[in-house]
Amino acid sequence: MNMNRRGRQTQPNQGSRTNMGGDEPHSGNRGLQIEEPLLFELGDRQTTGIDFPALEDQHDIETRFGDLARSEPIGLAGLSEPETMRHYVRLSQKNYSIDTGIYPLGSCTMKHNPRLNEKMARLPGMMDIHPLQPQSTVSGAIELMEELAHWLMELTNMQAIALSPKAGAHGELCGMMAIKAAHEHAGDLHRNIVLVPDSAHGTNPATAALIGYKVRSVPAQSDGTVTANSVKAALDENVAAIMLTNPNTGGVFEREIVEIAALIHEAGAYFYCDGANFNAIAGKVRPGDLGVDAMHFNLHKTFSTPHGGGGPGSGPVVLSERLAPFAPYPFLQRDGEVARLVENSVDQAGDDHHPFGRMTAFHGQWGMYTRALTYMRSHGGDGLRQASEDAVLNANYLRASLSEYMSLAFGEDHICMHEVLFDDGFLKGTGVTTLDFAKAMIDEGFHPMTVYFPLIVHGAMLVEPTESESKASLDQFIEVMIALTKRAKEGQSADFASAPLFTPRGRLDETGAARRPILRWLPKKETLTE
Amino acid sequence: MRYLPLSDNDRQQMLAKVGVADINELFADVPSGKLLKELPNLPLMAGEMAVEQHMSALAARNLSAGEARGFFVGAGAYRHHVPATVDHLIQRSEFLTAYTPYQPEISQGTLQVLFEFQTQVALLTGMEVANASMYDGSTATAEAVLMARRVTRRKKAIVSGNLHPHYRDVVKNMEHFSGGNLLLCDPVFDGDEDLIAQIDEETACIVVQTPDFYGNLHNYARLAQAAHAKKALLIVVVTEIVSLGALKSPGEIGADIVVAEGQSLGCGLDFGGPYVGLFATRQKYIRQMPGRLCGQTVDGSSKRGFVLTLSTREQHIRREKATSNICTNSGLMALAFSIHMTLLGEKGLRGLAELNHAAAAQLAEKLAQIKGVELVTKRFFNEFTLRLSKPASEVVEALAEQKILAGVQVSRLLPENEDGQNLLVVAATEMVTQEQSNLFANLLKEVLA
Amino acid sequence: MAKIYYTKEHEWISVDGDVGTIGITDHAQEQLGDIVFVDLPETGNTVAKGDEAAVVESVKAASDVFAPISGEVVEANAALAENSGLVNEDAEGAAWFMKISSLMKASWVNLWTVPLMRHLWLARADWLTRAGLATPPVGRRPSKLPLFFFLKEKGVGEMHFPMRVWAAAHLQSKNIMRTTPCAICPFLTMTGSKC
Repeated sequence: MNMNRRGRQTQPNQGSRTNMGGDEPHSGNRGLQIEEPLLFELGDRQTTGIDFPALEDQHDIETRFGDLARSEPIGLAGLSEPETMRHYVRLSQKNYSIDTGIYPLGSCTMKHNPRLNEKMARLPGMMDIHPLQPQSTVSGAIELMEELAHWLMELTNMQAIALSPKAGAHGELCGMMAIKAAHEHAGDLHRNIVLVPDSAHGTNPATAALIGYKVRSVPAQSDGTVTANSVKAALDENVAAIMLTNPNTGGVFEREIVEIAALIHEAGAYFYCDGANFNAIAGKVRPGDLGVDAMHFNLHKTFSTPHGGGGPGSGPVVLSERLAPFAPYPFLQRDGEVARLVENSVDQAGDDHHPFGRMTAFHGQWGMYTRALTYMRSHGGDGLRQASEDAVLNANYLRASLSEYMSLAFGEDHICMHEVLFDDGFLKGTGVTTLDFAKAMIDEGFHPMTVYFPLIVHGAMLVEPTESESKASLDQFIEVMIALTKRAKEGQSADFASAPLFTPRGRLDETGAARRPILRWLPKKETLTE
Repeated sequence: MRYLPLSDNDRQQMLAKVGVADINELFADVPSGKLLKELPNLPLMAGEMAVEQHMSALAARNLSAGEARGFFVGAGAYRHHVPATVDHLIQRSEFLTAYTPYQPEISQGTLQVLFEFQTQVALLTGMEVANASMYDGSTATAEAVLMARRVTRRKKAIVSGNLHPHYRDVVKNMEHFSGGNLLLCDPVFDGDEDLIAQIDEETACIVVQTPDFYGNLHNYARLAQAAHAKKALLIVVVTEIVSLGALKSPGEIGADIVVAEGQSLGCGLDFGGPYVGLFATRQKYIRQMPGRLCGQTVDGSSKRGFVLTLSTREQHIRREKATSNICTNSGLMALAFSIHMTLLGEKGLRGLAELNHAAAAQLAEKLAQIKGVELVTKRFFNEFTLRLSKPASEVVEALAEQKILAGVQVSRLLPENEDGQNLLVVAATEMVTQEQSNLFANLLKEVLA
Repeated sequence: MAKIYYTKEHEWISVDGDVGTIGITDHAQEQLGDIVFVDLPETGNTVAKGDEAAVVESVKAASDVFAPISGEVVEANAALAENSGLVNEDAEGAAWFMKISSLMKASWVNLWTVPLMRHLWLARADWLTRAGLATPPVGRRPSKLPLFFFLKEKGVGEMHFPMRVWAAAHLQSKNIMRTTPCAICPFLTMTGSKC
């Protein structure tokens, strides 16, 4: 036979993998995990990754702009296209994402972001239209806004909507401004207090304070919910509104919400509902039926628009009949066949509108409307209902599977909605904190749940799986949480304290970052003095 | 349903584990009569194909910039060419579907991008520090005024009449509700206002824009000095960020806070949003800045890393005492901006700025020769104002019927201003071709004849 | 010789003539964690007793510091601007926050001579010993868990009545509490909750 001597080993060596003498690889990289310098350490002022056509006529900028021409270098760095691609791809590989695995952040609704949303948002007729081109040339865009408005109002049984707020907190601001405008319109200027439960997200009191309201705290009872009695005790003729989250920040439906709404209305105040947790009740309960006057959505939570590493959000606000006249510019109006956006006071027909003003330039996060509507149409009314049911089922499945091992907040094993709240009671005596537990989850390949929120629960752990998790994914999660709990109880606190070990970076010095803030790159030898 | 992984079998098993027979038992806390029995009055589930058809039909009824025979609309949002690389990268899973980097160990990608972004914004604006972005330029402007009030402990804000009218309205709205005291000046379409005379000991800030809404370029160095003499802050607004490739930065001129719309880079038009607000200021004011901030630090092995920092300014900690109620930044659009800026580099940005100005200068020359057209703006970057012999809104509609998107009539944003009825704001970027310019000029001539 | 008083809000004030030097207690800095920034008032500002005079920031929290007396701020500690960590190292010494000058003697009431935490620990240990439930530790650094937190976890209403009364009587007899709104329970003034 002809012997081909070029054989090579095709089975691994037996035994575990060890580093060459325990040293880090020479490059600092670790296989697919590449250490990536800052852009400013890679590029320079001369390099560019874009080719431009040659300038036909030389318009001498210096002469044109005179004293305003830029004379000093800017200091920006550029890269060629391949280098740019590598830089950002490598950075992306250091991120966890929904597409990577379960992202059980309570109150964030990290559900699957369908790519059809992205495809539709990029149709030229969607992306490449200007907010101030004549409305007659963008009838499709305006109709899209109408359709989205219809879906949101139908899901909530509310009568009007402000689409323009750019994020959830911005939506809260819009709703509260509408309420304040309504009181001003009625001459009720003495109303300067807003009721906020102590379990509320920080945006609620911050929003109220921003527009000049004093915040009066409403205490929660022992299971975290707000009672009509405690609201009654806090009410007086100076209260302008209450801001409630429903389901609340502990993932529980506020049982006395109808009575609370009635009390609020009797007192001449308005009911603002924080809709961050709408994913639990879409298609099942309509806030308008409960007595809500204004509610914001987070399209990036309930309606799958992408989180993008921190934004952009979109926070449309539905309004009741009483608040409808105060919706800000621009708002939708239909004149028979034609839908249009009313952009200012001269534009509008009729005296029944008293818009309080404008929240933002142009019309709002229109690119997010496209994505949200694509998602909604994909699900349909029946799908949205099913999604809410699955979200609630998934959270309760986690609750039922983990309640023996971890400790439920408020000590009660009560049904939850789309998220389940634990406290750190189960870690008592182990030396492991909520933070340590969360970091250990990272090593297991999971993004941790929301920690230390809501503030009324000690060492809170708020877990929201969403409807996007399969049963297999949940079972794996449960298994790991139980294993970690056992490890903690076995006294392995040192392991937890050193976690995470298998990530691009270990725990970072946040104290140092706050004491000596370095907020930008500077060339060596330069420092910023205050 | 393709987005819902649970099968009916799964649901049965899970209900059993939870210990209930029916899903509605998990909704037992809902007050009686409020749990919907029927489905909402909405279309039912649709497959991808059907959804595509529906959305495409909506899109088809819009005249996009690319389909138009000429596109000259600006007024705060500009049509620039975004390289294919940008759009590809922002769709990577780990950027698109990641969340706010609250767990920094698994978010170093997002955090490093934010750090680079903050550096780019600081350099562009000529300021010492920048934040990790705001929703957009208009809300950033309102936040800047609030910040100036905090820093100076004064209430009065003077707002230039040449500020983008939408921005002015957003500031006016915020000031009304937060108890500020606003002096809104009237527009001066062709030149400089006298703002220095308005500054007094009660003034917290003066808000100006350059290039302004009508395209005028301004040197605010004297205004800066006058403001500082009275211990007031100068806030400079930039709505066309590409202009900073050719013009002196506001920081060099003496601005205390610079706010800008970053839409021109990376973002596209998108019928008004999502865009990205830029916010930059002096180092000594960092604790008064709104919005998120990314800072450099080290981990336990002394490796450089990045974290969100100075969070005690923010709402989730300070609650009613926060610098603002803001929660999100414009993460994905900040990434798009940053990638586009990286591809451009300094050389590319300067080149892009030159192309923009050249396109606008050529167009202005052509249009100014038409009978019935007067060029109002003397010095401009890529946008200028024309005074027409007919109401501008009529002209815009007439040209739109011919698929030329001619610009924005001032009366659309200042409907009550009589002087503005015949004014048209026209923008020209690097995407405008000679043919389009010529066609615009010819058709405009016809309409005005 | 400077006399040192404490407030129930974990501030200390060292009085020398008409000027009080104010800071936070060692217990407070321990509870707050790494201090990253201290926001101090400007010299020349007037503060009223009970006003928020300064803010102490750690990475994840911000806590208000209240003026224990009324008066004018004559000096703010410049050392803290450069090194906020000094508060963690030497809260009751070099990391003083501000000096306030005050002629209002009336505002000196409701100050204690012993820091609350140390005293409450002593009270608990004392009681446990007398009740025969514990022997005081000898030579070891005593437990850090003060009585106050023990109470707070349980909720004041759930505390054993005799213990509470004993503690109050004990504090009164030692002349540690000068005045208190509630004759029975000194803790009412701290938690503000009902018995």
